[in-house]
Amino acid sequence: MEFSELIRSPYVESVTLRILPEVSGLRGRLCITGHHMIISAHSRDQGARAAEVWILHMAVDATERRLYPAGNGGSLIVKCKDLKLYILDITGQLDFNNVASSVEKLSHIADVYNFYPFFYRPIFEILEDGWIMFPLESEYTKWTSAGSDWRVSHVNRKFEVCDSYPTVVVVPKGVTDAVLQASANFREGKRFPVLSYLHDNKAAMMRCGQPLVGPNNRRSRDDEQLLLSSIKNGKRAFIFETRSIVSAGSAKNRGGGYELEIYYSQWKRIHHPLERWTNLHESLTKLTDACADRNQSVDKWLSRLEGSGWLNTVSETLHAACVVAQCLHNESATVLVHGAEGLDMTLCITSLVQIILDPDTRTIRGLEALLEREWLQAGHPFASRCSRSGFGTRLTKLEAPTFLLFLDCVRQLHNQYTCSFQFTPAFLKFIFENVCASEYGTFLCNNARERQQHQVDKKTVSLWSYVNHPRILVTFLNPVYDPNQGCLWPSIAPMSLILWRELFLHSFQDISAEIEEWNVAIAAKARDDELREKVIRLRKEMLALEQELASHGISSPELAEEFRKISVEQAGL
Amino acid sequence: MEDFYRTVGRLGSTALSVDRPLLQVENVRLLERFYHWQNRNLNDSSLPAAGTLYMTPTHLIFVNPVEKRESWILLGHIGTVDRASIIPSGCPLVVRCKTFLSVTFLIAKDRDCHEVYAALLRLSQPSVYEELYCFSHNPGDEAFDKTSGWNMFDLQTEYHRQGVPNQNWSLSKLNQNYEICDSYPHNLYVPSVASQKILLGSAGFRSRGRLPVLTYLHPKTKAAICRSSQPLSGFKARCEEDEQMLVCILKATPSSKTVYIVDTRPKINAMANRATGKGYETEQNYVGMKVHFFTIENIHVMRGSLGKLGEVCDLKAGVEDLNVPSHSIFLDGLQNTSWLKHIRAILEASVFVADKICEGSSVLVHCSDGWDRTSQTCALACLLLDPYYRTLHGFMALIEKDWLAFGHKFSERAGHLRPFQTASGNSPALTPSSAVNAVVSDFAKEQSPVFLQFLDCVWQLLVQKPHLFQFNERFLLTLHDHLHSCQFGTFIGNNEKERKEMRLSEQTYSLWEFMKRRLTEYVNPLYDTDKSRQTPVMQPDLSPQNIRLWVMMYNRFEEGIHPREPLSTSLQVLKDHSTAMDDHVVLLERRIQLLKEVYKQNALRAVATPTFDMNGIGTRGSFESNESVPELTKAPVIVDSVAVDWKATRDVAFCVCSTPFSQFSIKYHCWRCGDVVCRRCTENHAALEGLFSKKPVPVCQQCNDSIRSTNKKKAVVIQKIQSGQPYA
Repeated sequence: MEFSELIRSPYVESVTLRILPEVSGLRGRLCITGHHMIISAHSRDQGARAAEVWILHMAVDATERRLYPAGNGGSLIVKCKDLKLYILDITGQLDFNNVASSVEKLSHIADVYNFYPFFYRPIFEILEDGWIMFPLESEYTKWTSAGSDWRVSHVNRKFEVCDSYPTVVVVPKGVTDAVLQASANFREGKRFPVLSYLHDNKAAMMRCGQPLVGPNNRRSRDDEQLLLSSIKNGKRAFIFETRSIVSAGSAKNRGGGYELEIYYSQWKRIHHPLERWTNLHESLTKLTDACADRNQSVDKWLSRLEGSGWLNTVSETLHAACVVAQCLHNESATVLVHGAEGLDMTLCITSLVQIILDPDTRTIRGLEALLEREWLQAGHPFASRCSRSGFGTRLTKLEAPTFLLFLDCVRQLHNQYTCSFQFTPAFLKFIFENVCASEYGTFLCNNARERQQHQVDKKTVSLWSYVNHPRILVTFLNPVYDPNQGCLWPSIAPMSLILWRELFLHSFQDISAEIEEWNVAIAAKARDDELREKVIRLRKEMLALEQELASHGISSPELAEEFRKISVEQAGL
Repeated sequence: MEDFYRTVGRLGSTALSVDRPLLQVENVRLLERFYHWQNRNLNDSSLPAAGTLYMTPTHLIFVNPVEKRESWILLGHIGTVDRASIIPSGCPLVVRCKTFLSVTFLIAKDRDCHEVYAALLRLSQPSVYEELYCFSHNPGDEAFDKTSGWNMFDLQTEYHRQGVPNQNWSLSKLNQNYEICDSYPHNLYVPSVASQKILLGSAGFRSRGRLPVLTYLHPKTKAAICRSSQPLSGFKARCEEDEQMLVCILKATPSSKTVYIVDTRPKINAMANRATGKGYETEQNYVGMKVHFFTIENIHVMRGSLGKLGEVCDLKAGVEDLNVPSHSIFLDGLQNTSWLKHIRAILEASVFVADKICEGSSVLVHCSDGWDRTSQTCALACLLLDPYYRTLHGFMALIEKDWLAFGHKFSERAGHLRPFQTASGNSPALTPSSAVNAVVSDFAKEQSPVFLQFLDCVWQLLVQKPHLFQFNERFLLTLHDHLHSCQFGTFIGNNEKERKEMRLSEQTYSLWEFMKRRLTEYVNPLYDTDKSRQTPVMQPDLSPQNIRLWVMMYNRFEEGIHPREPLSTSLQVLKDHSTAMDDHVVLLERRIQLLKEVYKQNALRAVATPTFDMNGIGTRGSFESNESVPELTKAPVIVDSVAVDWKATRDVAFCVCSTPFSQFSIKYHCWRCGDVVCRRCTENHAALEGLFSKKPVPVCQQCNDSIRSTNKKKAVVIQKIQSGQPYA
């Protein structure tokens, strides 16, 4: 396919772009390329660099045409997946139609090779290559080093056992690869139980897909053995089910199910029903609709916010993560987390647990490593889940903002423990924007296998290469960061939860107060650091001078006078 | 503000020994709001430790000897007391405060419980003003006497600031002795063209004589906000003077073609008032004026709404509790209270007034009596229009003007006194609990959260544009605390006349003076003077997404649910630290300069005199080559007197003085050693050697002691030098 077939009006003059909620627009030439809409402002004075706005087609979630009554053009409302809204005012019917249909088609391209990251060349020097920054094997060494009950397995080296797992997994030391293979056959999507996190107290958290028990109560001795060997000498362990007992039961009729007590006698099953990922898209759509309406009554807004169920899901997800984290932290018990496929809410829980328990994950690098381990390598299907967002309609029934839900939960933790995170909330928003559309290849495809197939690591630039560039990194640093070695137990009382305004409302409300607060803090921190350094420098200088003078045995009338003045002043107090 | 609850770590504090308790009950347990004791299988091991409950004339104090904590509740803050049904471990007594603190005392003996209950009913709401706390309160600070603060604000000065009187507006002495209106201030500013006949006529045609008078004159547009009560128009009554009065207001506004009459009530309420001979202005009678109705509900609706809000704020559960009330139930409940709807309605009316003033048209605001909704609307409009009111000082002046001077009935609305009818049953304790509640709720009809709503609206604006406000959330919370505390005379009484009669300014302390002494606590670190100057008129966004629940107010005392590490707190610490460093830098630079000059001079003199040159001190003393004196000026002294790094506050649970920090305590730093200390410990301010300004700054007790002893030594030296004695 050639992009040029889809672009009928590559240039349109005198287009006005409005970036909501701003009312004033940018007037200039619109240029449509294979990957971007570019609006360059008519520069008033020559020589001055004209303002330019680039919008990736990949970022577009939905478009809406509003024709002018006179029939000489219209407004094209471009709704993006990161919940930003743009309005293009285009005069001329032909141009308008051409632009609108190009944007619609270009934003629906599904062929991964046509995605922008494959064409993007970095405009910065890559100092650290994000693709090799977090090699799984070395990430896992802290859990599998000598004396540990866990080992690295390469059973999935060629993605032959499970196509959504990475090549390297961590499993109990006592089990052979053959057992793993057998267990994989008993698990949904071949996702056999693997280690997700090993807490300081050696309590392990594992995750997997549901067991394929089916209506005939099948069992797998290998799976039972695998799980049993993850438990420390006869202690109690928990299976944390993200589904209710009823829906787990009905899954049995479709070939899935849950671990039966008779075969897994050492495990206590906790059913903690969470919203299914399939319902999240609708929840987000309702939330976006409610946020977009500025003119409703307060009652209506509250009722629509409630109706969306979004904050309810955030609250329940946080709660679930707390329950798992407490099993690990307080009871030192092994926990196995799963739902049905183990690709969505399971990952949401396992990654939140780590943020609650592990201080490393609250740094920029730590969060990146966590996202690599628990989302990218763990096989969360980013491509299918994030192809549509809050404005769009689902095309494949595979779309779901699970990852956004996770980010929102982290945002809540950040709000409650602001000084415990190395990054600002803007970093979370930045990650979400890059999940939606990006020049970087990090979030392309659905799993490690697909990324390897498409040679994503060779042909695209990693987002982490960009983020970890020192010049960029500083922009995300939290000025009030003070590393917190403790656990972050969040409050899940309803009044503790906040709406993530900078994200959900940024196209509908003036959110400058939220942003300004951070800017003020960043400036204050920079100034304070500067002053502190200056004090240290001046002190050294002063001490050196005094020593120099003392070595000459010199004091002076002025010094004595100065002393006298100070002393008199203080004596008078 | 944390003084009311759980402050003192040491047992047997002074208050207990000074005031002999009226009542002392042993074997009491304190259960916090969200202690779900109803749902738990109660046995003594799951209960908090038993302690002693004391009752003094002013406070209810619970001492928990195991945790070494004292909880103090000001009696004036107590809103309702209920006895819940007896459970095996004791009799629960539920105390709910007007400050949204809610605790349950589990009292072992039924008789004790009854006694506490009866005493609380009697003491939490005295029946006469003279028994209020403010008449016996003594802040125990010599520098703070009863006269200070009372003249901090003066209505005439405030009008002067607005440029009034001028050719259009003048001072009327008609109400000098409250002849025409006893709920208005004695000085009234009215259009210069309004004759006495018009003023008197208009006063006669308005509820309670509250005629239209000026409250704010915009400096640029010269448009005025006037306020009044409703006209006594009934179905067809007219009053020529009152109609004239509006024309006078119009004439006093040079650029305006009309006067907007803002009736803050829903139109249907205004119409209903006509049946009782009151009502509203019609555009046909008031020619050329424009009447607008808003939707602010009356005090009874608001009181009901707050009641429901209290229930919603009770919805909470801990992490360990598996039955979390879902967020949906909370949002649903919140919607049912209509609280946020009311808040928005008040803001809408205020924004309308501010808009019209900006356009150059004068506005007359009224509701029914013109002391509740009118005060809210006028004060908020002023706040939107004038950056002065968004400063600490200005905000207090605004409260003085639109609330105190114009007769908002603080005592009635806050329920400072027991409505007198209840005294009938001499000892209400003998009446069954439910019956008493019924009586109280019936007589509490005048209570309403009108001022709280105003504070809530201000908070909404503060959250939207934090850089435009000099004060912070704590400032608003403190104001609300003292609305009910009755500790100071400022909010006592219902109008200026009553306060004069009670001679509050002689008999009680002023809240303004108290707050002035703690001003640094109320400063908003995000305040930006430049930006504030650039945006004189504030334009809030009232879309529903911007009207938020003020969790910090309504769930004040639930420590766990608030952000634990708020950015603003860290920001304030950063700013304070920078101030210290700034000051220190100046001193260092000056000193280095001095040293350099000395060095240069001595270099020129070719290092001739190795000993002290005494010229600077003249002939008065001699301490050449004395060890201890020069030591004081040496660099190490300067360096040691200012901490470069301040301790992190996160894990500090106790001050050096062993006072526990609650989530609401401000953690101060000692500027000398950088340690984290409580407010009481930093009350010792001291000047530091290392700071150029030599301003007294917060230091901890230990540092203060060491500074004092050094100063003493130095004083001796200086004295000796000055008296010409040789220093030995």
